[in-house]
Amino acid sequence: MSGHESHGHEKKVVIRKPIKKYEKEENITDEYIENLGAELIIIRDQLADLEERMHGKLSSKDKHDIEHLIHEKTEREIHLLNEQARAFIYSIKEEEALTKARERVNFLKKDIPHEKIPELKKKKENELTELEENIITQSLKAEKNKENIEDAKIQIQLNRTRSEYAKEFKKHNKGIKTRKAIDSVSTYLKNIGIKTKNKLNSIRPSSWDWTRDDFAKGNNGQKNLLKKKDISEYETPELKAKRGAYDAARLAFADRMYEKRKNELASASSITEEAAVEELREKELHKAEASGVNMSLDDIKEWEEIFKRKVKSGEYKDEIEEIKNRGKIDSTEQIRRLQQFKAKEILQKTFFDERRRVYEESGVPERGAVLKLMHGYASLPRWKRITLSTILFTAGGVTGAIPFAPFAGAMIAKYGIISYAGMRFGLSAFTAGVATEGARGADRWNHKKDEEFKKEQARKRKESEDQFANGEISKETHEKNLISIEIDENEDRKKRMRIKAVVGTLLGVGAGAGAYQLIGGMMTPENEHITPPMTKGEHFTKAPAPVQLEKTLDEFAVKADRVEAVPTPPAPISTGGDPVMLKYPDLNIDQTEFKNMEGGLATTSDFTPHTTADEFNPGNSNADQTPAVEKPKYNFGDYNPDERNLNQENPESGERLELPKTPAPEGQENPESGERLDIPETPDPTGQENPESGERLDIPETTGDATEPKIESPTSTENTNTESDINNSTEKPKLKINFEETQKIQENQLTELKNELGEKEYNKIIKDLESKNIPYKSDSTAFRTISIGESTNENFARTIARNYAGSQVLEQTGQTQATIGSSRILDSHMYKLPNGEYRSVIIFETEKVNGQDVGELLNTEKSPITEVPESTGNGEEMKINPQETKGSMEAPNIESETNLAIENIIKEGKYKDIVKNVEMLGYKFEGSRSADVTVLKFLESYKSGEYTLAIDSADAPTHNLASQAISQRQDLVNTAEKMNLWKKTDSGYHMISIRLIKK
Amino acid sequence: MDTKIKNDIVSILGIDSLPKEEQEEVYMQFGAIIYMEVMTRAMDILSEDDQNILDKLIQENPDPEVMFTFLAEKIPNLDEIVREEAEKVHKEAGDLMSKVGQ
Repeated sequence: MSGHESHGHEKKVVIRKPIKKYEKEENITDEYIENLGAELIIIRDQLADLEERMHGKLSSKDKHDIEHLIHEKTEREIHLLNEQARAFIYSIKEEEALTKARERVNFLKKDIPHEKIPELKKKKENELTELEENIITQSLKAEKNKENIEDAKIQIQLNRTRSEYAKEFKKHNKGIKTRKAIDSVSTYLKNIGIKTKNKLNSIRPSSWDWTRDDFAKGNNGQKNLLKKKDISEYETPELKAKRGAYDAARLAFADRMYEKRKNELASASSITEEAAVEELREKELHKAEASGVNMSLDDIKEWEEIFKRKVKSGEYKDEIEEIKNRGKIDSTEQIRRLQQFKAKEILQKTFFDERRRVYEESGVPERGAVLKLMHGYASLPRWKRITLSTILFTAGGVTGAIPFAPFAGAMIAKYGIISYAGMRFGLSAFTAGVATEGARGADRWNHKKDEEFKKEQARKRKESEDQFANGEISKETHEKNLISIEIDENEDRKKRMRIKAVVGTLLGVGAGAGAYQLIGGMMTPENEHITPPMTKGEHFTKAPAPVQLEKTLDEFAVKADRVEAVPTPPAPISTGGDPVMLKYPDLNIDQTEFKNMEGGLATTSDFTPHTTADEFNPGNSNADQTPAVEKPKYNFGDYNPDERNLNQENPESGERLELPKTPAPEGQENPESGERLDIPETPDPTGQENPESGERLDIPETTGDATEPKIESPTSTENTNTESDINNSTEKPKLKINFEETQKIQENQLTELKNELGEKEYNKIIKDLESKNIPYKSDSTAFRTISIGESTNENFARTIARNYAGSQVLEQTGQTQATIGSSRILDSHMYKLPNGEYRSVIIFETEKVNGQDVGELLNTEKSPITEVPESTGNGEEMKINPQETKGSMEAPNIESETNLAIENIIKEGKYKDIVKNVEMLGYKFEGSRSADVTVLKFLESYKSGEYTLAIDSADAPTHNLASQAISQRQDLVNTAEKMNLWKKTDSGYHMISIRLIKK
Repeated sequence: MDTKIKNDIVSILGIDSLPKEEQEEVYMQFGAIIYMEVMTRAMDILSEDDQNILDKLIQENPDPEVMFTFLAEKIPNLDEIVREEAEKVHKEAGDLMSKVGQ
């Protein structure tokens, strides 16, 4: 027996075995765990795709198949999670082995000093080193695994409780329905009784003594109807118990997410004690060396010892603390980030996602109908969805910035989403008269009624003329009649313009910052002077110096380009209606190709230059050879490939490329007057009639692309018929405006403003303007106006004022439609009113109408010239008609080559090539999905032939701004599928957004 | 419904801490849930004939505005239903989120 053995440490062999033993016995390696994770990601991605498919139009067979696949994939997901858990449990065993290894280390440490045989000592030292390294590695791994185990356990618990709850819900659903049906009948009968009692109650003599307990509340018979019970009232104890367990699991999951994030934020932001001491050491040593004393190695060693002692004694406590704190994210910032994480990620995962899963797993009643409804909801344009959601959400009572919507359902029904939002957010922009008008706004948007009004006016006019011709009325009476008719018409037009101003703003409500900035921005010069909000009564005397805004997003939006209305490939070769997921259930993206896309491409290459992958090599691009594209003057920066192709020759053959022409959409004109209709094209999605009355339902337009209110979006008439637009703009008749008429109109506008503001307020404004030498009256150089907008939202107030200013200028021109340019806001003020609303007052001027200087188009030489202060920015041309307020900017002659390249790459149709070529162009795909999956999904929709390809691009100094510039415009169009690409450029970021828009 | 939750739902959920676009996303998701709950509940309330009409409408044009127009005709207390469903969703989300991190 060796000396070593004589110490009685035979256990060492036994101790070392477990680690190796587990590695051999358990087939769980790092690679295996990684593969589990990777497969989970793929499965979840596939599940997401399948679930999305369920919302689309499907045959019952397809639906059944997809449901089957979802079931299979979910089973697999659960299996993978269980397998992960098993792997983690194995890791626990590994940890046990580590404990034993640690014991061995301790033993060696103790044993080595007594080892007399050098070779053995050396061997033990090596073993010790090896073990210690191993322990550190394994400890880290075990620690990480512990986290994962906990995660997996919570996830599994959540899945299990959800599944049990959903099953229980499903099990009881039928019984619930039956009981509800019984209750419904019972409630119905009781309600009949109550209705009768109410009726009697309303006519009974006051001496009758019926107890009020007989009635639920109030005097209104309808309100007294017994409420129907909702499903929660039918919950069985079992269902409640399952629900409770599920809620607890959700909370545990949410808490886990929260804690992890909290720790992440804390650890990511702090500098450790050791790191702080090390930094201080270097700093102090540098100081000591800098003092000029040459320190020998021994000196340094001595210095180090002293430093250590000082640290230990706490002499450097403050300095160390300072270093540690320096790296910390401010605690307020940590809280803010944590709050955001909670409101976004946790809410998403534990509430929205879970809700969806429960629906799916429980097979909610009338599932088909519900899915259809959700599809209808999802098909709404974004701005409308936001508006509707806000209305519904606030119906439950919300304080703060969001107004309470107590009558959501009926109001949406009566006036539609737009008008509802209009009443809520916009109508306070004007005084009572307009508010009343606004309340009838929805009706006014109805074409029929508008036409009726015009017909009625025409009839009155004709009647008066006939009576005068027949000698039935005098000339004086006839003239009076005509004046009266004209006043009515002017009043009507004015009202509509005001409504339009509100409607324009509503688009902002709907689409959020993007849309309203777009609309507002069109009317905003590059720089704008504003004053900060002030309270009423002190705004002029205490007005601080104007603040110059930084360059706005609008500036970047101008640079955005678009390829749109690209003729789509002919219908793809039949796929038998099978969705890709059915065809490729395992979605092996590395091998999937879309042959049918190639079928479509054969035709598309007839009208667009076919480009091979090599041509898109950044170093060998043919982009420069693409003939320059002449942009339509009022193209809004859009790029229309139709137009491009009409003017383009094939670079290779020199042949003119023929393109199927996009039919010009019908202009919206009044069939009688030929005037452009002032009212947004509203509704008749299905030609719905009220099922009972047979009346047409007054619902804003909600079909297809027309769901967008008629802001001139890039898909509107102007864009798809650019050629005629160019002609139109050049052939636009020169205006001649009677200056005196203009003055009269403006006087009326100012009088109206005075009435609305009150004389005192009005005089203050005028006095303030005069004291600052700001012109507010039109003259031979410019049309000017003072306009106000009021809203609970500061931005809306400003936008309403801007839009209204445009309408007023238009009124001064005497036109129903005109392009006004070189516009600017000369002065603007924002007040907070006692009722909490904001009032924006702006002084607005425009120097050009339909491209003509105001001086040229006025027919008088007597018109005064007002000294105009230097412009605060470059005016931009804008086109206004009473229906819409829309910017029309000179399209910058940039881009197209890249967009063209992207367009052609997509038409290549092989996702792998697309990914490769796009990356070769230097772009990166945005989003959480892999580039492959993103492109696959996109192509899958594109090949359906239901969509039109649209490409937007934008340049901006930051990624965020480029993204916003694109979003602004896309808010206005219904997007089915989207891929965003970006790359860094010398000047910032270039972003391309490729979308599919419903044809 | 608990008054505190009702009044502070936006801050309990932390929606007010989000950038505007993200707030819109959250509202859209809530809107979808409330809309679905309202419609599911409304379907149960309607008479069989009206259910058939609604089914037809859903199949032809499931536009929310059309739906609300129809339901408002048929259900006098539609607003109340919308309010109740919104409150329920607020409560559920509020109950959950108010406990997170406590």
